[in-house]
Amino acid sequence: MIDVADLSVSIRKDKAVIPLLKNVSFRLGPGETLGIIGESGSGKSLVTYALLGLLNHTAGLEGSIAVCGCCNLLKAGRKEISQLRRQKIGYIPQNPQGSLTPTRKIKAQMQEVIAVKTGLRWKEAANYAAELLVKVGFSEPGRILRMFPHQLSGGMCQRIAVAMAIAGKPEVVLADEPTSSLDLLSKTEIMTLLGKAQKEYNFAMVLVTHDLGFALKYCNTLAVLYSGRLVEMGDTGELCFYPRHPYSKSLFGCFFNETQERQSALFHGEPPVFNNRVPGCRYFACCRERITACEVQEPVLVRIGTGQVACWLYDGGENR
Amino acid sequence: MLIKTLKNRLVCACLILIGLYAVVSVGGTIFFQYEPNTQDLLQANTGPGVAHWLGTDYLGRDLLARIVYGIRISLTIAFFATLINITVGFLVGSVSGLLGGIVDRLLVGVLDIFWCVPPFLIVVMLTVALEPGIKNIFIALGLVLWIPTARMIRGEVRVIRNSPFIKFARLNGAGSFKIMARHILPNCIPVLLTTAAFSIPDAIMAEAFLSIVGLGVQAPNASLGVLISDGLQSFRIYPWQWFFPVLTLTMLVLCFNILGDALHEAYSSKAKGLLEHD
Repeated sequence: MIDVADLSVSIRKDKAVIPLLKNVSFRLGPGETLGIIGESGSGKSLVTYALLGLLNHTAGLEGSIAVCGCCNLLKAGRKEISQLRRQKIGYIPQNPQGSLTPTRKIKAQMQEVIAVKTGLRWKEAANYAAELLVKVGFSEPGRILRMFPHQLSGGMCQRIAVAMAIAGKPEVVLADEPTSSLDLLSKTEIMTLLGKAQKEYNFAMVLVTHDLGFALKYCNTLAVLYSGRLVEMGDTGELCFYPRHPYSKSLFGCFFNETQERQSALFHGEPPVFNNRVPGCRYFACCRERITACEVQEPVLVRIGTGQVACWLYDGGENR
Repeated sequence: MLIKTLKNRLVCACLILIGLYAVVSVGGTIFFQYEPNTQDLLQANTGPGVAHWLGTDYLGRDLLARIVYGIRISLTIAFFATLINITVGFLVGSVSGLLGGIVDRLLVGVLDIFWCVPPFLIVVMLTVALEPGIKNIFIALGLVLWIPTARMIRGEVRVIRNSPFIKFARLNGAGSFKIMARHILPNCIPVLLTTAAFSIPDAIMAEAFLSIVGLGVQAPNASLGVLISDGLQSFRIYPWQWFFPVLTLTMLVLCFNILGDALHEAYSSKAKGLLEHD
């Protein structure tokens, strides 16, 4: 369904090439969910942008992305990409209220999306819109369809965005922090909805999130990004209870509220800025388990058990 | 929000007054017994009274009839000048904002050059070149007033173009044309409406100014500017000949300005509401 191999994203600034994302690889089948976690600015959203073909003309791209039969999205033309977005990919945005056009009623906006994605006529699209709204938990779809986005709450707008995303029965859904601007109840509602929709349509989902709780509950695989590098990836259960990379350790340590000592490690420093070339590991300055090798050379991803980790502590596949 | 604005009494009064001006000026001779250009030298310079409500001018023409006729001409000029203004401004601004790149740079260059020349200088030059007359006044005014409109629309389009809902529409598979027609341009309409509401009083004032300096509407036609200019000459002896046209002009401009302010307020508070919601 999704096969990303060695994806690297870079931009050019003043003749220098600044890498934003380096060597990200993963594979996802139907019905599976990949959670991408990491701090702000670590490149989580960039992965979804690359998967949507948004970076094709704006950034330097390497590697390959195969999505729903399109063998390399990075080399695809505009037409192919827009065809793919219409028919195979559903996207759920970060800021639901800002993502709906303020001057148009929900009905017109949903009709437009449905007409584009399914090829239904305008009138039929209105009926289908009402059906979709019921599916995402609205009891009075007629009333909602007549409203403007600013008359709805964030959670309601996000449910409408989910309805739009699943309108074309997608094979892949990309959710870019779908719960970040919502209250706790709405968050749970949206995630439950997504889970239900996934069971119904069996789509593969990439869930970018800060919410480790939801990531643990809904994802089969987790990928941890740090400063544009994939530092660890693996089965959700294994990764969260037995994290290997020092960054993952502090992340989950903080989440499970472990000892004071580990928490203090979190605030040890900040990630290097992107245009700052660091010869070694990018987590070096903050790492509590660093060794001399870390400063000299960047670690590569090595396979350990069912997962992968990029850390010199695990060089050669064994814990030193 | 618009309905709330209409409930405001002051705005309502302005709307009614503007409507009244429009109806009376279009109806004109149906309501009044005097023709604006009929001279009656025996009645010259009579003060306000029963026969001539607002008095007569130096050729014995009824001042009320002339003011009503003047409002018609002033409103016509303002209407057409604003029409040219928002049409050209909207087209140039949206093309420049939407296309970007070299087209945008070229158009902005042209706008910047026009921006540097005092607008009245261009209007005066154009009216001289095109010969004074009603049609040429609104052409000249329209051609000058669109410049700030185009700049405003361009800015608005550029802001909207980069907003999250455009990205979301694109990711949902909408084509460029649909995005432009359904998502970007409708969002510019509030700005356009406000600009239009402010452009009408500007045009009325500009026409009055041109007529006062002698480049505007030519005798025997009467616009408010011509009447003020005529009244100014005998201002000390027959003050009503100057006072009533000035009062009319002031009321008209004030009404449109209050209306423009209310529209601006309505839309900006709507935008504020949206921000608070976020």
